[in-house]
Amino acid sequence: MSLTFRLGTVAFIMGMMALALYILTAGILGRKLHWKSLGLFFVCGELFQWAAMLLYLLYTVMTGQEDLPSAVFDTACYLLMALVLGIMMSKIHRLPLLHTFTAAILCTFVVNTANNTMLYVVEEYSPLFDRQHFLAFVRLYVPYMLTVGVALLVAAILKRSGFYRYFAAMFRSRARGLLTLVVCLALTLIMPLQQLLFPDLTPDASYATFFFALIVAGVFLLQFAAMYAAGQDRIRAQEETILQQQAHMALLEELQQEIRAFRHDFTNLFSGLTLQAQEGDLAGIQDFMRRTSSYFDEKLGSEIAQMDGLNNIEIYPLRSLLATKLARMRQMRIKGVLEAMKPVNGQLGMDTDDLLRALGILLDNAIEAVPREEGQVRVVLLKEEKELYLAVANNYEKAPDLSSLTKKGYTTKGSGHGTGLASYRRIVARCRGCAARTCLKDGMFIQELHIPAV
Amino acid sequence: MIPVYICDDELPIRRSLEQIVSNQILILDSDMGPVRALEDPEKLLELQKQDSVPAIYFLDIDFPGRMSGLELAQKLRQYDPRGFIVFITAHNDLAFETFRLRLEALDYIVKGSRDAMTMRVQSCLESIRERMEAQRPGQSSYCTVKILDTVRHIPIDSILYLEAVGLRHTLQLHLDNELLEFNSSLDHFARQLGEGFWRCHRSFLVNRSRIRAVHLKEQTVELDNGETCLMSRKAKSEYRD
Repeated sequence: MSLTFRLGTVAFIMGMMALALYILTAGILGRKLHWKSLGLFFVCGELFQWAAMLLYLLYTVMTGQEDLPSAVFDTACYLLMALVLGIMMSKIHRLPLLHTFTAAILCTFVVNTANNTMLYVVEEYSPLFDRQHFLAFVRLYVPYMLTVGVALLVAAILKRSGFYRYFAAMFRSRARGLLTLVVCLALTLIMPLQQLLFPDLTPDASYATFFFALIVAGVFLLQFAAMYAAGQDRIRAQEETILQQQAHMALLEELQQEIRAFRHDFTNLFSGLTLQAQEGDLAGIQDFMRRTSSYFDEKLGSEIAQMDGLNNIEIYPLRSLLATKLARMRQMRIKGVLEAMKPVNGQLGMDTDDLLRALGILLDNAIEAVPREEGQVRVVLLKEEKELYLAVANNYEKAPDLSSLTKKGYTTKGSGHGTGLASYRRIVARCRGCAARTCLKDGMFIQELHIPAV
Repeated sequence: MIPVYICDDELPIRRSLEQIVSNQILILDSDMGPVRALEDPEKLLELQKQDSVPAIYFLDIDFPGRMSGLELAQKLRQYDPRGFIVFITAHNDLAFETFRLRLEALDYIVKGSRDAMTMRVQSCLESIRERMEAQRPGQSSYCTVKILDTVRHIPIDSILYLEAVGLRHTLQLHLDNELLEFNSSLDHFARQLGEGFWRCHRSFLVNRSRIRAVHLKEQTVELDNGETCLMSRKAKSEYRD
């Protein structure tokens, strides 16, 4: 066999591994394939693997011994590749590095194991050929292509079953995420460790089956853990929803009470008016009309406007967030104004969780910043053709210092606070095409957010 | 002269408002005018482009069967970002926050008794005159920023500095009492703003006229509001030369 054919085969094998890794990682994260970065990772994978091989060769040539198994180099190389893939994924899909890195590590394990199994199986069952090229094709090309096939299949299944949601649930808290990372790392390191400790064992098909079983068990364990975590999260979310609905009910009750009072007032006023009409007191009636024309608006205007605004918000989690915050403002005797002139709906360039977090931070900050007397918070949502415009304005006791607002940990409440604005900034920066504006105008502190519509 | 437009589909309102506005301009003796009253919002959009900007617009809040006042105002703003918009409405409980924040509308006038309308128009025109006078010294030059659909013209004097943040091409534009964050590149602004700005660091572009002091030792640039920017070694040697 010519050298070029051999080198080409090695390059092909490496390329297939990189491809399988990328596809599976995208599947676990539940994202679409990004062709440009796939190409980039393909090149990176080739480079890394060639470098690892050269290093290994260099090592054996320099020291003249072969007792250090190639597994060490391979593992280091794969870990590095996983890191690169993790960084890449976190850049493209705007996910935390811990999340993507763990996914990449897990995929490395799965792909390696699948690949080993394929190799053994092919070795066991392939007939003997006398032509070397064909032998190489069957022994090397087929299993590696099969690995990519398996990766595609598994990725499709994972994407279908919504595994990424469970996987994401593992990264809600840092400790949970780190634990997942450690488990995945341990899984990845089992095979090289075994080779390092018991180099005499010759792996065969049954061995591979054992590892396959291990994967299945591991993945199931992960899935169960993730489902449990997701279940916990769901319970918490439901509790929150209940609270929010209670707030909404309280608003309705209040409105009803005011309507009752209003009706009482109005019957009284009208009986007076009837008397005047009977007496033919036209001037008196005109005077009455003038005095009472804005009466209804004054009494119920703000509540009705609030309800109108809330009803126009068709993104339900957003509606309940606003209802809760408005209820809190009423409790604290802060005048809360909500305006949503047009229905707020449709797909946005920011995911709902981030939107809720961002608006929550803005509202909490506004509620905390208003003066004790005559506090005012105004919220505006306006859905336009290409964007959702969102503004939160509040009056203040002491003007906030805009120049230090962007510094990390800026707060008016002493140490330990000031993480809200920082995470708000992070959310905005994460969303492509989003723009934020902060300004002081006419005695109000205004935070605006433009979110592109998809 | 600042052109004044009145757009309302009810003839009596249009007539009386035209009279009120013309009278008030005479009383104020300010360089506003001519006053044009129109029925059709489309026509207003045409006319706007034939005269100078900024202009003053009195707009009805809705035109049944045609575009809404909000849409009209947004279209007017695209061509005249610094114009003055006043809405005319039949309701006292108008949801005005949206107009004030989104369109930077000045005020609204409630259709009703002539006296009340006159008072409101008067206060609007006075505040417009004040704002125009306050703007005059900074009339020199503006920097255009496009954020999604909104175009903003920012007086260059009010810019302190620009900072590139993070790896995702987020730019922070620091102004007096205002902070803008959006996706853009510093190079783009370095080109647009030209000589008046100094790239004192890979991720900072400062307005030369707003620098209070340059601290060579700490490698920082201090601005006239006390904020500091980083200075790179390259910029330091540039500064020394």
